[in-house]
Amino acid sequence: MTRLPLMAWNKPLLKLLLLIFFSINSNFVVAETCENLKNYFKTGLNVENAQPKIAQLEVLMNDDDLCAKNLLGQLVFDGIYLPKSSGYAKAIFSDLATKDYPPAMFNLAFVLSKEKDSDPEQVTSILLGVYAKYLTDKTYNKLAYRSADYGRQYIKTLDEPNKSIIEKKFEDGISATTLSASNAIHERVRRSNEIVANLGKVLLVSAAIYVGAVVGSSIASSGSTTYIQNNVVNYTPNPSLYQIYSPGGGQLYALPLR
Amino acid sequence: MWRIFLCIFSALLASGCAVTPTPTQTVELQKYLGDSCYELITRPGVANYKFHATHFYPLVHAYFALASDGKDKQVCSFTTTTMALGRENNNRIAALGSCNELRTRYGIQAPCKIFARNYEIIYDKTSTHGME
Repeated sequence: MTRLPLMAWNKPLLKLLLLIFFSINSNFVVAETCENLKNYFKTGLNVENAQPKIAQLEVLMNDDDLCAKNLLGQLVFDGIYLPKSSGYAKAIFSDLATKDYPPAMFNLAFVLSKEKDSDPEQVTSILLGVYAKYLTDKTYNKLAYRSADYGRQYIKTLDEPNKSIIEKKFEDGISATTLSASNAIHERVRRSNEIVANLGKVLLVSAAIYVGAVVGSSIASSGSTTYIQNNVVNYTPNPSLYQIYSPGGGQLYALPLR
Repeated sequence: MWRIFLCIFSALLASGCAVTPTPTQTVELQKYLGDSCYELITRPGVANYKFHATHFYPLVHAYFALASDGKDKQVCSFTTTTMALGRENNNRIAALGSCNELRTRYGIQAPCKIFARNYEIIYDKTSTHGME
C-alpha cells in the first residue's frame, strides 16, 4: 500500500488551519493599536490618510481604551485633524485622571501649565502627585521622573515671590518621596543580606537579593502612597470642565467634527 | 544554558567589554564636578562607582546623583549595582535618596538629580517637551 504524502493526507485539516490563520491575521492587520496610532499622529502628518486612522481611534475609544481617549485629548489640544480646544482637552484629561490613568494626569498638568491664568500650585501638586505615586512603579516610573523634570522647568517660568515658595514646596515633596522610597530599598537590602548570611551559601546570594528586590519595591510603593495621602494636595477635577465642550450631545468622548 | 550565562558573565568581568570614560566624557565630568565628586566618580576599587559602571555594563546600570550650588558646594552619591538587582529603577532611587540625605545635611539648595548613568552624563539632558 502506498502511503499518501503528509500534506495530502491532512488536506482538510490544513485548509482549516490556514483559514484560522488568515482570519486571525487579517484581524491583526485591520486593528490598530493605540501606540501605532500615537506614532502615526506624531509623525505622519498626511491629511488624506487621516480619516481611517481617526475612525480606528473612535473604535478604540468605544472599547473604553484609555490610551485612545488620552490620544484624542492630545489631538484636540494641538488641533491636529480635529478642532483645537484646550477646554475639551482639559475635560478629557480630567476625566481620565480620575480613572487613575497616569499619562492623563501628566497631560492635565501640561495643559494647565500652558494657561496664563492657571494656578501654579495646582499644576505642581498634580506633577508632585504623579511623582509620588509612580516613582516605584514598574510601568510608569519614567513618567514620574518626567513629572519632576517638567515641574522644575515650569517653576522656572514663574515670577517671584510665588516662585520661591512653590519651588521649596515642590522640592521638599520630591525629596521626601525619594527618601521614603530609598529607605525602603535599603531596608529590604539589609533584610536580604541577613537572610543570605543565615543561609551561608554563595549560590543563594543572588536569589535572595532578587526576592528582596520584589518585597522591597512593594514596601517602597506603599511608603510613597502614604506620603501622597498625607502631604500632597490632591487635585480635585472641576466638574465645570466637563461642561465647557460637549461635541456630541453631551458625550465627552464623541469626536468633534472638523 | 547556565554555563553559557556564566561564561558570558565571566567574560564581561574579565574582558575589555568594560566601558571606561572616554576623554570627552572625562572633560565633561570635570566641567560639572568639583574635586571631591570627580574623585568619587573615578575612584578605582571594587566597592566604588567606577567598578560597577564599567564592569557590569550592560547587564546592570549604575547611577550617580548630584546636587550642585556651584562647583564648590555640591553633594553627590552613587549606588552599586548590587543594591537593587532585578530592578534598575531601584538603583536610581537609592542614588537619589542618598544624595537627598546629604543635601539636607549640608544645606545645599539645588535639587538632587541623576548626573550619570554609568559614564553617560544625563544631568542636563532631560526631555521635557510635549505630552504623554
